[in-house]
Amino acid sequence: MAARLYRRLVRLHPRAFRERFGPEMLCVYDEADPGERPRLLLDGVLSLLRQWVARSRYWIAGAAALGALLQVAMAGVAWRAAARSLPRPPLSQDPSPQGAVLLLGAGLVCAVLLFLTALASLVRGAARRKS
Amino acid sequence: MEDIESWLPLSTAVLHILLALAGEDRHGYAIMTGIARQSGGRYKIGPGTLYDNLDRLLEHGLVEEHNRRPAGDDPRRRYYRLTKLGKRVLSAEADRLAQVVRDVRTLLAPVKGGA
Repeated sequence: MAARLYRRLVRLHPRAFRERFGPEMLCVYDEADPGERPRLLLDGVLSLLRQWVARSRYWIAGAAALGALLQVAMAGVAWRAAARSLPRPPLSQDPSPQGAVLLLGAGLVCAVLLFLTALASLVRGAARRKS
Repeated sequence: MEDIESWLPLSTAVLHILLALAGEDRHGYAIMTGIARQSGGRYKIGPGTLYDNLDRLLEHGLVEEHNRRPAGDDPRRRYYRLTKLGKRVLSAEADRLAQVVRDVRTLLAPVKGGA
Protein backbone atom coordinates (compact mmCIF):
# COMPACT_ATOMS: atom_id res chain seq x y z
CA MET A 1 0.00 0.00 0.00
CA ALA A 2 2.71 2.47 1.07
CA ALA A 3 4.95 1.27 -1.77
CA ARG A 4 2.14 1.85 -4.26
CA LEU A 5 1.61 5.35 -2.83
CA TYR A 6 5.33 6.11 -3.16
CA ARG A 7 5.33 4.87 -6.79
CA ARG A 8 2.40 7.16 -7.48
CA LEU A 9 4.20 10.09 -5.88
CA VAL A 10 7.25 9.46 -8.05
CA ARG A 11 5.03 9.21 -11.15
CA LEU A 12 3.51 12.63 -10.35
CA HIS A 13 6.89 14.39 -10.57
CA PRO A 14 7.66 16.50 -13.68
CA ARG A 15 8.57 14.27 -16.59
CA ALA A 16 12.23 15.28 -16.97
CA PHE A 17 12.94 14.69 -13.28
CA ARG A 18 10.89 11.48 -13.18
CA GLU A 19 12.65 9.99 -16.21
CA ARG A 20 16.06 10.93 -14.87
CA PHE A 21 15.68 9.93 -11.21
CA GLY A 22 12.37 8.04 -10.84
CA PRO A 23 13.81 4.50 -11.08
CA GLU A 24 16.54 5.38 -8.58
CA MET A 25 14.02 6.86 -6.13
CA LEU A 26 12.01 3.65 -6.31
CA CYS A 27 15.18 1.62 -5.87
CA VAL A 28 16.09 3.64 -2.77
CA TYR A 29 12.59 3.10 -1.38
CA ASP A 30 12.87 -0.66 -1.93
CA GLU A 31 16.29 -0.80 -0.27
CA ALA A 32 15.37 1.38 2.70
CA ASP A 33 14.72 -0.03 6.12
CA PRO A 34 10.93 -0.45 6.61
CA GLY A 35 11.11 1.90 9.59
CA GLU A 36 12.47 4.63 7.31
CA ARG A 37 9.65 4.40 4.78
CA PRO A 38 7.18 6.85 6.40
CA ARG A 39 9.97 9.47 6.28
CA LEU A 40 10.56 8.63 2.62
CA LEU A 41 6.86 9.10 1.87
CA LEU A 42 6.94 12.55 3.46
CA ASP A 43 10.12 13.32 1.52
CA GLY A 44 8.31 12.22 -1.67
CA VAL A 45 5.47 14.67 -1.01
CA LEU A 46 7.90 17.52 -0.31
CA SER A 47 9.90 16.60 -3.39
CA LEU A 48 6.74 16.69 -5.50
CA LEU A 49 5.92 20.20 -4.27
CA ARG A 50 9.52 21.33 -4.71
CA GLN A 51 9.77 20.05 -8.27
CA TRP A 52 6.47 21.54 -9.42
CA VAL A 53 6.56 24.80 -7.49
CA ALA A 54 10.21 25.77 -7.11
CA ARG A 55 11.98 23.99 -9.96
CA SER A 56 9.35 23.87 -12.69
CA ARG A 57 8.38 27.06 -14.46
CA TYR A 58 4.74 26.13 -14.96
CA TRP A 59 3.79 28.13 -11.89
CA ILE A 60 4.90 31.27 -13.77
CA ALA A 61 2.41 30.52 -16.54
CA GLY A 62 -0.27 29.86 -13.88
CA ALA A 63 0.50 33.14 -12.12
CA ALA A 64 0.44 34.98 -15.45
CA ALA A 65 -2.93 33.49 -16.37
CA LEU A 66 -4.31 34.40 -12.94
CA GLY A 67 -2.89 37.92 -13.24
CA ALA A 68 -4.42 38.30 -16.67
CA LEU A 69 -7.82 37.14 -15.40
CA LEU A 70 -7.64 39.59 -12.50
CA GLN A 71 -6.71 42.44 -14.84
CA VAL A 72 -9.61 41.71 -17.16
CA ALA A 73 -12.03 41.35 -14.23
CA MET A 74 -10.85 44.63 -12.70
CA ALA A 75 -11.16 46.41 -16.01
CA GLY A 76 -14.70 45.04 -16.41
CA VAL A 77 -15.69 46.23 -12.92
CA ALA A 78 -14.17 49.67 -13.59
CA TRP A 79 -16.03 49.83 -16.89
CA ARG A 80 -19.37 49.12 -15.24
CA ALA A 81 -18.72 51.53 -12.36
CA ALA A 82 -17.73 54.31 -14.73
CA ALA A 83 -20.71 53.65 -16.97
CA ARG A 84 -23.08 53.87 -13.97
CA SER A 85 -21.57 57.03 -12.48
CA LEU A 86 -21.55 59.05 -15.68
CA PRO A 87 -24.66 61.04 -16.57
CA ARG A 88 -26.53 59.49 -19.45
CA PRO A 89 -25.27 61.17 -22.57
CA PRO A 90 -27.65 62.46 -25.16
CA LEU A 91 -28.27 59.85 -27.85
CA SER A 92 -26.30 61.84 -30.34
CA GLN A 93 -23.08 61.60 -28.24
CA ASP A 94 -20.67 58.69 -28.02
CA PRO A 95 -21.79 56.70 -24.91
CA SER A 96 -18.43 54.98 -24.17
CA PRO A 97 -16.68 56.32 -21.05
CA GLN A 98 -13.14 57.12 -22.10
CA GLY A 99 -11.49 56.32 -18.75
CA ALA A 100 -12.95 52.84 -18.60
CA VAL A 101 -11.86 52.13 -22.16
CA LEU A 102 -8.32 53.19 -21.28
CA LEU A 103 -8.35 51.03 -18.15
CA LEU A 104 -9.60 48.03 -20.09
CA GLY A 105 -6.90 48.62 -22.70
CA ALA A 106 -4.22 48.86 -20.01
CA GLY A 107 -5.51 45.67 -18.41
CA LEU A 108 -5.37 43.82 -21.69
CA VAL A 109 -1.85 45.10 -22.42
CA CYS A 110 -0.71 43.93 -18.95
CA ALA A 111 -2.34 40.56 -19.54
CA VAL A 112 -0.58 40.15 -22.89
CA LEU A 113 2.77 41.23 -21.40
CA LEU A 114 2.39 38.79 -18.51
CA PHE A 115 1.56 36.01 -20.93
CA LEU A 116 4.54 36.82 -23.16
CA THR A 117 6.88 36.98 -20.13
CA ALA A 118 5.67 33.60 -18.94
CA LEU A 119 6.00 32.13 -22.43
CA ALA A 120 9.55 33.47 -22.84
CA SER A 121 10.46 32.12 -19.41
CA LEU A 122 9.10 28.68 -20.26
CA VAL A 123 10.94 28.59 -23.58
CA ARG A 124 14.21 29.67 -21.93
CA GLY A 125 13.76 27.04 -19.23
CA ALA A 126 13.10 24.31 -21.78
CA ALA A 127 16.16 25.34 -23.82
CA ARG A 128 18.35 25.30 -20.71
CA ARG A 129 17.11 21.85 -19.73
CA LYS A 130 17.84 20.53 -23.24
CA SER A 131 21.36 21.96 -23.28
CA MET B 1 37.82 30.67 -9.35
CA GLU B 2 34.58 32.63 -9.76
CA ASP B 3 32.69 29.39 -10.34
CA ILE B 4 33.93 28.00 -7.05
CA GLU B 5 33.16 31.15 -5.08
CA SER B 6 29.63 31.27 -6.46
CA TRP B 7 28.91 27.94 -4.73
CA LEU B 8 30.02 29.11 -1.29
CA PRO B 9 28.80 28.72 1.35
CA LEU B 10 27.48 25.27 0.48
CA SER B 11 24.05 24.26 1.72
CA THR B 12 24.04 21.52 4.35
CA ALA B 13 22.67 18.99 1.84
CA VAL B 14 25.25 19.80 -0.85
CA LEU B 15 28.12 19.78 1.66
CA HIS B 16 27.14 16.33 2.90
CA ILE B 17 26.56 14.94 -0.60
CA LEU B 18 29.98 16.12 -1.79
CA LEU B 19 31.55 14.81 1.41
CA ALA B 20 29.89 11.41 0.96
CA LEU B 21 31.31 11.22 -2.57
CA ALA B 22 34.76 12.46 -1.58
CA GLY B 23 35.92 9.09 -0.29
CA GLU B 24 34.44 6.82 -2.93
CA ASP B 25 31.97 6.62 -5.80
CA ARG B 26 28.52 5.78 -4.55
CA HIS B 27 24.97 5.16 -5.72
CA GLY B 28 22.03 7.15 -4.34
CA TYR B 29 21.16 4.94 -1.40
CA ALA B 30 24.82 4.66 -0.40
CA ILE B 31 25.08 8.47 -0.46
CA MET B 32 22.06 8.69 1.86
CA THR B 33 23.40 6.14 4.32
CA GLY B 34 26.89 7.70 4.09
CA ILE B 35 25.45 11.10 5.03
CA ALA B 36 23.58 9.62 8.00
CA ARG B 37 26.79 7.92 9.14
CA GLN B 38 29.10 10.91 8.71
CA SER B 39 26.70 13.15 10.67
CA GLY B 40 26.28 10.62 13.46
CA GLY B 41 22.62 10.17 12.48
CA ARG B 42 21.81 13.84 13.12
CA TYR B 43 21.33 14.72 9.47
CA LYS B 44 19.36 12.51 7.10
CA ILE B 45 18.18 13.30 3.61
CA GLY B 46 15.52 11.55 1.58
CA PRO B 47 15.69 10.66 -2.10
CA GLY B 48 13.71 13.77 -3.10
CA THR B 49 16.27 16.10 -1.51
CA LEU B 50 19.18 13.98 -2.70
CA TYR B 51 18.17 13.85 -6.35
CA ASP B 52 17.08 17.49 -6.44
CA ASN B 53 20.58 18.46 -5.34
CA LEU B 54 22.30 15.84 -7.50
CA ASP B 55 20.41 17.21 -10.50
CA ARG B 56 22.02 20.64 -9.95
CA LEU B 57 25.43 19.19 -9.13
CA LEU B 58 25.38 17.10 -12.32
CA GLU B 59 24.18 20.07 -14.36
CA HIS B 60 27.02 22.27 -13.08
CA GLY B 61 29.68 19.58 -13.37
CA LEU B 62 30.52 19.10 -9.68
CA VAL B 63 29.42 15.47 -9.84
CA GLU B 64 29.36 13.04 -12.73
CA GLU B 65 27.80 9.69 -13.35
CA HIS B 66 29.90 6.70 -14.27
CA ASN B 67 28.99 3.32 -15.63
CA ARG B 68 31.26 0.98 -13.68
CA ARG B 69 29.10 -1.22 -11.49
CA PRO B 70 29.50 -4.52 -9.71
CA ALA B 71 28.13 -7.57 -11.49
CA GLY B 72 24.59 -8.47 -10.50
CA ASP B 73 23.90 -4.97 -9.25
CA ASP B 74 20.35 -3.54 -9.38
CA PRO B 75 20.15 -1.95 -12.86
CA ARG B 76 18.14 0.96 -11.46
CA ARG B 77 21.15 2.10 -9.46
CA ARG B 78 23.37 4.80 -10.85
CA TYR B 79 26.82 5.59 -9.55
CA TYR B 80 28.15 9.08 -8.98
CA ARG B 81 31.59 10.52 -8.38
CA LEU B 82 33.12 13.90 -7.65
CA THR B 83 34.69 15.78 -10.54
CA LYS B 84 37.80 17.95 -10.18
CA LEU B 85 35.53 20.98 -9.90
CA GLY B 86 33.52 19.24 -7.18
CA LYS B 87 36.70 18.49 -5.25
CA ARG B 88 37.85 22.11 -5.58
CA VAL B 89 34.48 23.40 -4.36
CA LEU B 90 34.53 21.02 -1.39
CA SER B 91 38.09 21.99 -0.58
CA ALA B 92 37.20 25.71 -0.75
CA GLU B 93 34.27 25.10 1.58
CA ALA B 94 36.55 23.25 4.02
CA ASP B 95 38.93 26.25 3.99
CA ARG B 96 36.01 28.60 4.60
CA LEU B 97 34.76 26.50 7.52
CA ALA B 98 38.28 26.28 8.96
CA GLN B 99 38.46 30.08 8.88
CA VAL B 100 35.10 30.26 10.67
CA VAL B 101 36.41 27.88 13.35
CA ARG B 102 39.58 29.98 13.74
CA ASP B 103 37.50 33.15 14.08
CA VAL B 104 35.26 31.55 16.70
CA ARG B 105 38.26 30.28 18.68
CA THR B 106 39.91 33.70 18.55
CA LEU B 107 36.77 35.46 19.71
CA LEU B 108 35.97 32.96 22.44
CA ALA B 109 39.51 32.62 23.77
CA PRO B 110 39.27 35.64 26.14
CA VAL B 111 35.93 34.31 27.42
CA LYS B 112 37.43 30.91 28.14
CA GLY B 113 40.53 32.44 29.69
CA GLY B 114 38.45 34.65 31.96
CA ALA B 115 36.17 31.85 33.09
